[in-house]
Amino acid sequence: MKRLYICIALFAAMLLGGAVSMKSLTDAQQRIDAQLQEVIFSAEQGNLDAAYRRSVELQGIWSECEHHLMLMVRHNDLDNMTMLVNHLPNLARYESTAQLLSYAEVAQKLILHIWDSERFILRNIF
Amino acid sequence: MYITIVRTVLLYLLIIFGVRIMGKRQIGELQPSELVVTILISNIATLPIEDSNVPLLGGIIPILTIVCFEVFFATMAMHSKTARKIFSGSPKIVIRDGVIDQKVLCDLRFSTDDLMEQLRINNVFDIQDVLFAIVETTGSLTIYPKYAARPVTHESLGMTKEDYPDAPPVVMINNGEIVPDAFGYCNLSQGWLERILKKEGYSVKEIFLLTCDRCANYVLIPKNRRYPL
Repeated sequence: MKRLYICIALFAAMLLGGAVSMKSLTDAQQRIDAQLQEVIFSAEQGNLDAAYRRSVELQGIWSECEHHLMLMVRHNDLDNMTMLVNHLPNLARYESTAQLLSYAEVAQKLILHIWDSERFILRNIF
Repeated sequence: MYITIVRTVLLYLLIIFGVRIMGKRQIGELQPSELVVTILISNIATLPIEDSNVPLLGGIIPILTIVCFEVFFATMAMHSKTARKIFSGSPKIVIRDGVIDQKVLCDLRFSTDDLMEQLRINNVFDIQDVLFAIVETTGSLTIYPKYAARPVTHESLGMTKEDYPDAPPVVMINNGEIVPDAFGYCNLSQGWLERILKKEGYSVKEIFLLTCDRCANYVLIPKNRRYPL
């Protein structure tokens, strides 16, 4: 019976860990998405200085989130995201608006994909 | 993380189902669910080791899930006969009252060669000696021989020996070290051991193995100095 209780505790801890990890992933996705929106908005307004500042802020947010996400998400997607995020400041600085917008949108899609593929839905199970 | 847990449970159930479908011939010794756990854990453990892109939790969570479900199902099987039947199956009688049940053999996909092999493993070379043969849930064959084929025992010969110890001997000195629990088991004291060692002319350090039973019958093997352990 002792083993059963240990396993119940373990399983409960895993379920709780699942909830915590999903919440932290959702928070990270929302923060990054909001920051990317601001980068896109600034670039669309032609304010590349603001876009540059937002991109640098985004780098900081991403490197903070990446450490948590590495515990639960396959590293390939995270590496791709890191590459995209690190491109943004230089694209803003050297005034490649079209490329900046394109990269920012890909990054938005990728973070959404990372979040979506961890969601507890039937489509993801099969 | 929930995805990993659900996927692992689905795979676990699928493999148990597969092993149950394959039947007892495929397992041998392990229960179906134990075999599944062995297969899955050994494979899952290699994933994060082989591929550094897989987070360590991607290996830990499935393994813990399997372990938890194995314990849950084992508990269920302990309390419910139906669950036991679903997860482990039930023993099948292949020889009943000395007659081979060919239907059961066919269901189990046990050929006559398999049956004869299993009989030989059980030291039975003549099928006529078998009264009952049962294929256990682990896939092994248990045999109940006919009366005439059963080995003679002291009891059947009416032989009794009052002073014969009814318990096996235990190790009292293991590689030059005394095993203190053995004294209580044998109802003997350290003084008895000291007397024996004095009589045999050895010290404790010089003894490789000393076993003793409850009638103080002992076997002493001294160390061979050429092969120090």
